[in-house]
Parts: sequence; C-alpha cells; structure tokens
Amino acid sequence: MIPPAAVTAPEAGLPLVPLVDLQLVRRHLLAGFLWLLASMFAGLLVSLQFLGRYPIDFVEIFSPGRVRMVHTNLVAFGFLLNCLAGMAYWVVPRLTGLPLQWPRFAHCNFWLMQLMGTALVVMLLGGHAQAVEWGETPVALDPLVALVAVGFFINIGACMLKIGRRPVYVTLWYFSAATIWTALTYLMGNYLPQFFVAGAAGGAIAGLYIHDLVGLFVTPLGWGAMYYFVPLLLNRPIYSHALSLIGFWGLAFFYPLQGVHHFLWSPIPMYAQYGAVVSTIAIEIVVATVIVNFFLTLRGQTDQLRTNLPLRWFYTGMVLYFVTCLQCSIQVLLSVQKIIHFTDWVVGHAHLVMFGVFGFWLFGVIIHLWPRLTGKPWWSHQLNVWHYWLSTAGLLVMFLDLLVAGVMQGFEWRNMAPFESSIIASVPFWAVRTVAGLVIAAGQICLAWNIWKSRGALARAPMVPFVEPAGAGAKPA
Amino acid sequence: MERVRAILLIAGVFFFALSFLLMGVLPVVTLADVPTLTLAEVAPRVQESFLDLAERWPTAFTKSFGEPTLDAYHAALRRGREIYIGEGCWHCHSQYVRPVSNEGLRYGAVSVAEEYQNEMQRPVLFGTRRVGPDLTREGGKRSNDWHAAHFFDPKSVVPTSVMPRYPWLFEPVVGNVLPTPPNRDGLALIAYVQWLGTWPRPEVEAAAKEAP
Amino acid sequence: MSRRIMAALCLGAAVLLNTRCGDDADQLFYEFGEASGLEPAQWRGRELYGRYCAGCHGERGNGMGPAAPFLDPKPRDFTRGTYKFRTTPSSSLPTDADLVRTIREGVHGTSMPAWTTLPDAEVQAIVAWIKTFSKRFARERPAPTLALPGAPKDLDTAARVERGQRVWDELKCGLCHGERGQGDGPSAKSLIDSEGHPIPPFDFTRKEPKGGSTPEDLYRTFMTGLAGTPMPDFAETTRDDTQRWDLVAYVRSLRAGAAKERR
Repeated sequence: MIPPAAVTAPEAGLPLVPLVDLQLVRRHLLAGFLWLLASMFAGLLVSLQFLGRYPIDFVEIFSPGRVRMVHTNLVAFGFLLNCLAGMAYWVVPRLTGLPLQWPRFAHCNFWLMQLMGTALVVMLLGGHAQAVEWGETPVALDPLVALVAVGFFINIGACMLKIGRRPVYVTLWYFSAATIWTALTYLMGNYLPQFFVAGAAGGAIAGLYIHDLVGLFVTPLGWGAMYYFVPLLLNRPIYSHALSLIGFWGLAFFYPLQGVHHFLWSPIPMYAQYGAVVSTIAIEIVVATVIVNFFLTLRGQTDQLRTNLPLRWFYTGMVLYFVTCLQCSIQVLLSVQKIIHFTDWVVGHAHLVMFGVFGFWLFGVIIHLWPRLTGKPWWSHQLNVWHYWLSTAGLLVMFLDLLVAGVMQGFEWRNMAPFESSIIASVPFWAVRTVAGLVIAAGQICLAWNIWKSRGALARAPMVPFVEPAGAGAKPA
Repeated sequence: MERVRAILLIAGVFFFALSFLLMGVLPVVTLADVPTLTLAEVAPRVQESFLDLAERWPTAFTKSFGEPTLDAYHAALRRGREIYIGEGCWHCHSQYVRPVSNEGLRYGAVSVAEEYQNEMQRPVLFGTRRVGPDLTREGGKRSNDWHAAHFFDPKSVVPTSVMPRYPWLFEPVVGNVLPTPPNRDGLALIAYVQWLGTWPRPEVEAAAKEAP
Repeated sequence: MSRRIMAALCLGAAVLLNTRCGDDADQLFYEFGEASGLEPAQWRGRELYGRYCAGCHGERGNGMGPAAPFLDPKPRDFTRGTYKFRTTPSSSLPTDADLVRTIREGVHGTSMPAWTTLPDAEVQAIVAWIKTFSKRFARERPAPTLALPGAPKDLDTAARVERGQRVWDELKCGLCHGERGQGDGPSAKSLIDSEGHPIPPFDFTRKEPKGGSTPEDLYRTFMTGLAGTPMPDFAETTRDDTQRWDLVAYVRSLRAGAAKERR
C-alpha cells in the first residue's frame, strides 16, 4: 500500500507530513455520495411525471423539466466530480510519493465545489439554464464550474508534474491526460456554441462536448482508478503492459473523435457523422483489449469476485462497460439510429454508462477506502452486499426496460402511429423504470445507513518527509 | 509514451486538437459560406399569431409588450427562447426532422443546415430525446388558444399527455375562474413556439419540392 | 440468478401490459365491448374520442371539455347536431365524409388541429362515436350532397375578380364582412350564433378561412352556408356557377391584396 518514498527513512530536518490528506478524501467521497442521493431523488421525482403522478407539479421551482436538469447535472458536477476527486486525492500521492502540494488550496477547492453544486441546483430550479446538453449550468456559473475542476486538476497535476521525466504508472497516464482534456472540453462545450458558433456546426461542437465529458473526463479518471485498485486488490500486477498501452493510446486517439454520433441524420455535414460512426466502432476494439487485459489479470482468482466486494464492484462495472461499448458500436450504425434515436433506448444507455459503470467503480472505491479513512471496519458487511445487489438488479432492470421501450417507441413512430399511442404504450415501461429506480435508491439507502453507522475519527495516514520534487524518489507502483 | 509530459502534449493537447479540428472546426468551415442570420432576418415581420395574441388577451399583452410592434415581437421571441431552455422544453422536444423513419411525413420538411444558421440556434436546440413530438415546424400548426390551454394543463387538451403543466406562465387564477390570460412569459413562449419553422426558408422549400 | 428472474418478470409484465395495442380492434370488441350495446365502430370510437377529442369537446360531446374555457372560438357542441362544414344543404346533417374531412384538415385559425396521422379506421370510428351525441343522426339522414364542381382554370384573372366584386356588392356581403372583406361591416358587432355567443364576421384580408382556403372550399361554403352561424347559403340567391366562382375569385383576391400591401 505504501509507496517506497514513505518507507525510506526521513531525511534529517525535513518536516513529516501525512502522505494522503484523509480528511480531504473523506469529504470528497462523502459529498459526492450525498450529491448522488440528491440526484437520484431528482431522477425518481421526474420519473413520476411520466406516470402522471408528479406530486408537486404546481410548484414552479420543482417543475419536472427543471428537476431533470438537476438530475443529470448533479451526476456530472456533484457525484462524479467529487468522488473522482476524492479517489484521485488518495491515489495520486500514493503513486507519486508526494503529498498534495497545497493542502489548503485543495480544501478551499472542496468547499468551492460544494458551493458550485448548490448554486447549480438553485439556478437550475430557478429556471436559468444553458442549452448545452449535460452542461445546462447557466452561463454565469460556467466559470465557477471550470474553476473548481481546474483547481482539482492543479492539485493532482502538481504532484504528477513533479515526478519529472521518468515513466509513470498507467493510472497516471489517464489522470494526467484527463487534466487537460477536461479543461479544454468544458471550455469548448460551454462557450463556443453559446457565443460563437450557431446552428449545425455548433451542434457538432455540442456533440463533442457531451461525449468528451464522458470520454475525456469521467472515463480516464475511472480507468485510472481501475488500473490502480484492481492490481492492488488482487495483489498481482496487470497482465500485460502492452495491452495497457494500446488501451490508453487507442482511447486517447479515438474517443475525442466520436462526439457527432449524438446527432446522426442531422444537418451536421455527413462526413463528420460518418467519421464519428467509424471511430465509435473502432474504439470498441480498443475497449476489448482493455477488458481482455483485466480478465487475464483476474485469471485463477475469479473466486475473489465472490469474497471481495470492492473487486466485485470493479468487475461488474467493467463488464457493463463492455456492454455499453458493444451497444455503442451497434446503436451508432445509421440504420439502427433510424429507429432508436430520440427514444428511451438512449436514456437506458446513458444510465448504464453513468451509473452502471462509473457509479459502480466509485462504489468499489468507497467500499474499499471508507474503512481506511475511518480506521475501523464497515459496521455491516451485509448492508454493503444488499447495496450491491439492489443497485445491480435495479440498474439491469432499468436498462433492459428502457431498451425495449426505445425499440417500441422507434417503431411506433416509424409506422406513423399517432404520437399519443406511443405515449400510451410507453407508460408501463416507465412504471417499470420508476420501480427499478426505487430499487436502486433502496440500495443507496443501505450504503448511506452503513456509512452513517461506520462513521468515526480519521485514521492515521502514513507520514512522509515533505521534500522538494528532485528528491522524491518514488518509482511507479 | 509513459511520461507525464509526453502524455499531456500528445494525448492531452494534440489528439484533442486533432479531434476538435476534424469534428468541430471542419464543419464550421464547411458551413462558413452560409451566413449566420440575425433575429431580425429570421423574424422579418410581426406574425399573424402575435397580433392574435394582442387581440385575444389585450390587457395582459399591453402590460407585457405594449403594442405588437416588430421590436416587441423580437423581445417576445428572445424571452420565449429563454423559457424554452430554462424550463427544459428542449429535453423532451427535438428540433430536427430526420430524413428517415417517415419523419418528413409526420413533422414536415426534413431539416437542412441553412435553417439552423441563425442567432436563435446558438446554442443549437437539436435535442436528443422525443418524449413529445418534434417542434421544428410547429409554428402555425395550432392556434394560440390551443397553446394557452395546453401550457396551462396539457392533460386537459391531450388526456394521454405526460407533459408537465406550467401555471406560472399565466396570471394568477382568482377564485378558480378560468381562463386566466398568459403572463409575459406565457405570451413569449407561445410567440416562440408559433414562430418555429415559419420564417422564409427558400432552401427548405426547394428541398421539399425535390422530395417525392 | 435473482436479478435475471427479476428482469424477466418485469419485462414480461411490460410486454403483457402492452399487448392490447397490437390487437385487432374487432376481436377486442367481441371480447370486451359487446355488452356495451354499441356498434363495434362506436365502441372503438368511444375510447379514441376520449383520447383525442374529449379534452376540448368534453366527454359528453357538449363542447365543455376541461380545455374549453381557454378556447375561443369554443369547441363544437356535438349534442346539437349542427355542423358548419358540409357538402349538404344548409339545414341538413353532414355526411360522414364531411366530418372526416374536418378531422383530417382541422379548422384553420381555431384550436382544432389537423389530425393527419390518425389511421383511417380510427377517424371513422371517432365519427361513428361523435354521431351518437346528437339524436338527429338517429332520426334523420343527411340530404343528398350538392354537386361541387372543380374550380375553373381562369379563376384568378382580373376580369373574374372585378366581376366578383360586383357579386359581392349585389349579395350585400359587405353588410357583415365589410366593404373590403375586413370583417367590419355595419352589422358586424351585433351578430350572434345559434348558441347566443357573439360571433364576429370573418376577416378575409388577414386570416385563412376556417372551412379551408382552396377555391373549392370557398365555393362549398357559399353553397352550403355555415350552419349555426349567421352565414347563410347562397345556393339559391346566385344565378349560376360563373357568378359563384367570380365571388370566390374576389374573396381570394382580398387576402392576396392585403398581403401585398403589408409588404
């Protein structure tokens, strides 16, 4: 667990500092989880609208249209941003052997991040939004979102840059690329279509933004965590370094090219649409190499999936990642798009990616790290198991349900049925979706309850001498 | 290939820039010869439906927009678009008609890039989900009073609808007496919806003629 | 294992709940509808009417649906059995085809949209149900439809428009519709419909006629009148088709002329 730097004898005269700021990690993970609960509550509320049972639709600030934006935006800028930050603040110091360079700044950034999340909810509910999908943060709030994201990346980036010219471990490839990508993506998506590029070309950029936010912000941080935690939990190195290389560079090359596939058959120039389709299918091959690499890492130890809950989360998420990408490469075909675009199929896909993959991985991180942050074991292992099964079952039901609903809607529309008839036929599917959402929420309540019962004082982090970068002799783990 | 700086430079900056050039800048260049129109160009005249709003709810209209002048019309369209975005209308109603799945039959002429090249599509309101029908060519299909009734309570007009109701787009209801006239925001949203797809689009009409 | 069973159960439930939409309408009638004492088309129409029409026209067809307070003009009250847009003489019931046409094309300038995507069988079923609201349909049959010839080729010529203006004056159209068709004639303010609501005469310069704007639609309106409104039919007060088409030409020119002026 503890990298070489921490076990070497401290140089004389240098102050000892904790390697990992446990308080910061815990705050971020907890805040992220709370935002997830808020987001899920919003999602459940909106799903009731589809059944005609929205309880408070006469209250302006809780209008379902606004609550929907809260649901999606809190997933990105509440849950994922916070939990990924917490995870990275744990991982990066351990891989570099360097504590965060400006702990106060990191804590300030944490509070700013929560301020941003709160402002986001308030402004969206107040009826101010920007017409950028998954970036509905009002224009006035965009700088703050960019600021906290960049603040987080500066904190981990400082550690990574101080390593110098030596090769670093796979996780840090992903993390370091994500720093630049996220900043560029956010600025591109929130400013170009808003102020500079109108119409179809602006749509192309908005498409890039939606996709890059998944592919260049969440995905690299998520895979970084996988490359760190899975070998650690299995106590063996990743099977093939070459496959890791292929996976990273393939992702780096193909992922950013795919954005336009969100608007196929649209007035965006066709070559961009074709290019997006081809690169989307191409990345499926890259993803396959990564999946193979991880399964070969697991070889001979599959029994651990039964006994080791965090590991089970990681591999469940990974299998679902493969399903997601496989689905991507099928649904992106122009002929499939004719039917499934604009339907609930896409909604199902989005839930699979955001919750089924990255949500699950972060649950693995939380389950693994929480005892190490509080210094005492989980209050109840059984509750965590319930959390796993309820989340997984709920998600799979929701995903399959929306998939079928999407195909049905697509054919109803193509067959020129009156629009109302597609709505009537969708209602049972929407009911199942709400039930599945309730199951997922029940799972999160298990975890929330367990976290509450497992609360405790901070554990003691390993101490390291606070040295200047040139002396930090950490090898990649 | 495994060093932070190389990754930052090649993957972080270069690959991103490459994708941005191919997928973002190239479409911009392709569409560069299509002029980006201003609101005044896509709404050159006050529409009949806007005059109808002024006649139908004279008190509410005068209070909100004064006379139904061109300036008032433009102000209404701008505000209407803000509400369309702020209420999340565009999450359930798309604004592009695809050339597939009989959408041309259902919603009207297939969308072309030229009709998006204007101020009112910045950011573009394509949308990605159709819980309700596409609105690209909604303008003029229904009357103002239909829209008012529908915004006040969609289920009253379309019993199977799952659209939320928007009573705050109307003057407060006094003593359960309906109808209550739309307020400034309500009038603006109706004006915006009635404008969608109505401005002169020679390219679209030409494309519609070519289609069988 | 448990998640598979759960998924299968939920999907199964969803599929079962949905089977109704695919079923053959007649088969459904014999399974569920026979006891209602309705014809198959009426039984089917009742559900469709509830889905598409009741919001405005009301569950009972009295024009007082939940959306009606907002609407002006008010939705048609089907219990009276009077219909504006017919191919039959003024006092007669409309034919089924007339009702179908109104549903398909909508009524311009009112909240009645054009129901373009409804399948034919469903429109027929809705018509069958609408006809149950008024006893007239049980007692009477629609009179034979009037012969409605196609528009002459030289319709929009200046000569016709000029002659049409003379017909307009001769028939005193201006009393209600105003001298230049702006709906501001001397008696415009005092007109009421058969339900006692004030009804302004139509402004030809600004709006598209409700009964449709093709020359044939206008011709039909002259020949059959608009039942329930002060608009009479002119089948007998006009001499011949030439005169009627002249009038159509003039009325059409009113809107075109006004549009040109506005530009």
